[in-house]
Amino acid sequence: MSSVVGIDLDGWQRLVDGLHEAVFVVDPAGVVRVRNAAAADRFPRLGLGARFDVHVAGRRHDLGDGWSAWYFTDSTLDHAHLRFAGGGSRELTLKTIVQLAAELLGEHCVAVVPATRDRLEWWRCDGGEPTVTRTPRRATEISEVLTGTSSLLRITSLGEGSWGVPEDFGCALAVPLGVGGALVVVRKGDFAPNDVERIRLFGKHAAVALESSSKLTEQQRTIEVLRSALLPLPLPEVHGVTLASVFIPAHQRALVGGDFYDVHPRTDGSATFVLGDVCGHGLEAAVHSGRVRQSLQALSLVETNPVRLLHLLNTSLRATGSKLFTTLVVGELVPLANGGARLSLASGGHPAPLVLRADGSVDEVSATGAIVGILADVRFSGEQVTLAPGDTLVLYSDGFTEARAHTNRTELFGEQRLQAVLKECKGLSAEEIARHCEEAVLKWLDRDDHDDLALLAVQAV
Amino acid sequence: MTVQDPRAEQIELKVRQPAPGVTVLAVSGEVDMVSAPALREALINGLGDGGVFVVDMGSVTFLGSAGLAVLVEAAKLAQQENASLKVVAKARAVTRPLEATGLGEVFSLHDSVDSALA
Repeated sequence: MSSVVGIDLDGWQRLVDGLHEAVFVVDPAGVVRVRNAAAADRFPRLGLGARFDVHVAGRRHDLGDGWSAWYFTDSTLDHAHLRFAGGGSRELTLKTIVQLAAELLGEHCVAVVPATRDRLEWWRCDGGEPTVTRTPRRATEISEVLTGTSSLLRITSLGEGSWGVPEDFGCALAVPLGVGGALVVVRKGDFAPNDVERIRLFGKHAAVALESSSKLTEQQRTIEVLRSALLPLPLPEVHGVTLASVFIPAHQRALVGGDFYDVHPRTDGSATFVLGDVCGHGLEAAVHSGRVRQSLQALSLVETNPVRLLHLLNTSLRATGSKLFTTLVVGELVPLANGGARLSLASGGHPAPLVLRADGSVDEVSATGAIVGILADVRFSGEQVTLAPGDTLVLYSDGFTEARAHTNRTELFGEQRLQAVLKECKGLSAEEIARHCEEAVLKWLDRDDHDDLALLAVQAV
Repeated sequence: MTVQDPRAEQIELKVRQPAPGVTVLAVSGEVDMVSAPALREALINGLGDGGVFVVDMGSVTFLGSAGLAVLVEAAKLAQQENASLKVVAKARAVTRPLEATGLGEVFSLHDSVDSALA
């Protein structure tokens, strides 16, 4: 071994052999030139001449001329625990488990875990990038560990399975990895008694990490399913009108909110439409808005009159016992033979709908009524509106009118300003009107906090 | 006592007890999604004592749906606690949203604190 450029390797070897810490001496090229017994024990993959590449925290000591000594206390498993505690997806956690196990415990590591459709996943690492394969559920050599009847299994021959381990391996140890899983550590040589304990401990840390990451992944999947169910559906095609919408939740990261809109066409060419606002924010309001939408969709199959529909909806929602109330406008649309459409509207405590006429004038539809979902004695009044071709009905949530100016937080966007914006939309399509209103309010807000924003434009053709 | 809530600079809440079993909460400023939690806290704390509770909204310049939700919750709580909840509302900024949502008929509305306590 002798010396290299002023570094006495033999001297270093004698010095580090007596230490309990794992110690490596690494040359300027990043190659291991000295390691003690503790290092060989803890990092079996990092032999002399190997590239020094570890993922656990250690102490570095500069030896000059680019040489360095690295010290690792016996808290390497604690470091592994910290790596696991970082959280992340199930996939990332399994990669981390096999990577660290290959680095700290043996030359090869395989994590065998249950997957969907009665299959097994085999996560392997031999020091490089972890790989995974899925196979039918067969792993007879480690079945005792997988079923939980054994907490430690010494294996000398690996039969069927996606092991990816050299045939001349010396010994393998299998320990449980959560429910129905196993961690298999493979070495060329045999395992010392303290290795067994370290592998057991590592397996326990890894199992806890895997369970929490699996729960997190499952929660994320559930949230994604809920979120997609709560988002507004794409607008359908309705005979005699074109439709456009704006939907911007208050909490952009949640992508869902308390505002909602829906259009339900019927086979006779008519349609029921609604825009509403559940009073509340975040997930609770979004879930309740889903409940309101489902109720309305079901009720509109048996009742088309908007006033009676609101009475039924109020009764239905009160029965749920929710503390949240909803304001909304419900309408029935009937296309007219000569173009245009006849609308029947009813409002449950919602801001008054606006009609942009083809000539650029704006009318307010004065439908009145109580909030929906909490009061026993409610009254709703209906209103009839005829849209000539080119006329546009605009329903909107109070997120528009109550939007606060970024220049002066006490100044609201207000109904008059919204009407003025609509007057600028003379001759525009439903889509262009929706975009113009959206741009106007977002410019007014200039990225400031805001309530949910929803708008539905119904233009007669 | 004046309660300044750091979440809601645009609202000011003053609580006084002109007589035993009578609490008056004077609200001034804007009640929206930012300031409503401060109003809710004050209402829940006050209604827990039972008796007569007057919410004086005479100096409220804006009442949004979040504020309406707080008043609805307070009305339900008052029922549970056998408290008498009265609302003083004369400014259009308060009466208009109450009327538009049909809530004007739910609350005992008054023009002044004196008429609410009469």
